[in-house]
Amino acid sequence: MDFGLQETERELCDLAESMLRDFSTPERLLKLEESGLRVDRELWVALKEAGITTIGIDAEHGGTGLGFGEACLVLEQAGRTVAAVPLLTHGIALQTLQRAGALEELRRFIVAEGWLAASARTDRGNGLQEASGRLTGTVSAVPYAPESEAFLLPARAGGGWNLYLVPARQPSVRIEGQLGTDQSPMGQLTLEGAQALKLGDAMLLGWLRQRLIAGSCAIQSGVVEEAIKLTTAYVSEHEAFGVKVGTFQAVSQRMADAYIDSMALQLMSRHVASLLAAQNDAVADVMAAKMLAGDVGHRVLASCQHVHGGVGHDRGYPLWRYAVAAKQNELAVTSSSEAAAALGAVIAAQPALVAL
Amino acid sequence: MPARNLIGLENGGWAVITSQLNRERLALMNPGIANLVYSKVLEHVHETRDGARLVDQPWVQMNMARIYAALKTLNLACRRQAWGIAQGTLTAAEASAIKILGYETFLSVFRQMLEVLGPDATLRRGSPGVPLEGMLDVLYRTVPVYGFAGGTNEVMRDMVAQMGLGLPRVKRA
Ligand SMILES: Cc1cc2nc3c(=O)[nH]c(=O)nc-3n(C[C@H](O)[C@H](O)[C@H](O)COP(=O)(O)OP(=O)(O)OC[C@H]3O[C@@H](n4cnc5c(N)ncnc54)[C@H](O)[C@@H]3O)c2cc1C
Repeated sequence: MDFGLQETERELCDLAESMLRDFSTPERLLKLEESGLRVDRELWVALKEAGITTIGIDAEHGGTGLGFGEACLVLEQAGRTVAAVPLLTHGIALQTLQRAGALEELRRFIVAEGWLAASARTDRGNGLQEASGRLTGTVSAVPYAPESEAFLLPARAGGGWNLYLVPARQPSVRIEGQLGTDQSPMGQLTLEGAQALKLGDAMLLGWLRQRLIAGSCAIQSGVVEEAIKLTTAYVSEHEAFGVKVGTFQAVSQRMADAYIDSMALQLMSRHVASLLAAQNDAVADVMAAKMLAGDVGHRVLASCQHVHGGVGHDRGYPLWRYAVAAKQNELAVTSSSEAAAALGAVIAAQPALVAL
Repeated sequence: MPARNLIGLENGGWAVITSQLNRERLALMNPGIANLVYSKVLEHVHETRDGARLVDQPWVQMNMARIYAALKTLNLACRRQAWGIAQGTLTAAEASAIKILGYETFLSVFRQMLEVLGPDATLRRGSPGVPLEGMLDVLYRTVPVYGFAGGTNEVMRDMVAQMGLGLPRVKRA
């Protein structure tokens, strides 16, 4: 087992981080948030030109090559910078098209200007139904749906769920803009016999869901790491009645726990990224990682905000964006408790998958 | 002894003892025994008795899921540190971190395993009908020692805060 980053991986992280950081200044993010659509189109174009948006897509199809592990390293940087770009949904939607063999669509969306949205939800918030190749119904909270090119969506067909590619710009699709707690754009979609391309069945949907989860764990790992960095700097300088706050044991012990949480999350997140780079299915560890990502995001950001005092809620100071990003990621695709229930079901049905 | 009770340098003994302590902290948190008990509990919950399996109860599934997730994380963290030792890069902050992670993990997973075993769980070794030969009863009683033995966890957290995060150093009385 090798736990270090290779030279090329480190260079990729540096490149992605510097681009994302340059654009994601608090002033610029505030402007985008006030514009009503928190998407940085200039940054998106720059990332496309640098090949960052097509990591995980083979070069023969017009992608950058590399694999899912590298894609997740880039997502960590997106978390560290709370960047306003749909890297997760777009990247994993493209990978799903490649996986499904929808190569014509894949090539088209690689060169298209915009981005792809994707949802894997099959709970009561998704009422989509397929009938004679067309989709009807409503689905809520689809990340980055507003102004996207197309959506990857599950819909009920017969007794089970299939996964479809649905072009956004068609008369039978209505998008109502929704706002995520992290201010990212989401959409409530109402489809009335919308044209759709079937990409696969429940197997492919599971494939997509596992990758969306692993990607959100990578983002969470970056969010948590950066929040701790900000907080460490703050409590090392800030004084209460002439004493540095970071010297209080109640504060430093809490931050030490945050460090351990962050260490554990980075390990689990990179572990599942490397598993999914090598194999189709890693459901047990993906669920375990998501449990941790939710718990760690919740605990660490509560600690970071707490030891900042009022400043942790000040919109002129960067920390609050990390707090809402952590909550968004905690609940993205599935929550810690739901992931635990899913892992428990695996333990009951396939104990061989959870040997230690 | 005196020479003002030298600690750093001269022949470098201090660095030897502190790096030994780092390794000791990892060794203390070796998850091997917890993995073994976990595998036995996993078998236990899959056994059918009177037509039913424990693992078919939702709360048992939740406990088992939390146990697996926590132990998987600890296993990875320990391997990561063993790798760090092999590379010569293991830091005192990491070694302190593993001691806290290991202690907290053992404390919670052994409790959740005891819950799964039910009222028989508290039977002492040697009692008729004791599950898993009484292993868990011995283990859960041992874990609290590791909160302080090998360096108390408050001191471990101080080391993580100061050496891992770079928080200001404080002299504790
Ligand atoms: C079974 C067993 C085996 C052991 N084996 C060995 C061995 O092989 N070799 C060896 O050298 N030692 C060994 N020890 C001793 C062990 O290292 C000490 O017990 C341990 O370091 C704690 O010291 P103490 O018992 O004096 O507790 P104290 O130092 O009195 O600590 C009591 C509590 O006070 C608090 N506290 C102490 N200092 C701080 C601080 N700076 N900040 C905040 N809170 C603090 C903590 O809550 C701590 O748990 C063993 C102990 C046990 C029980």
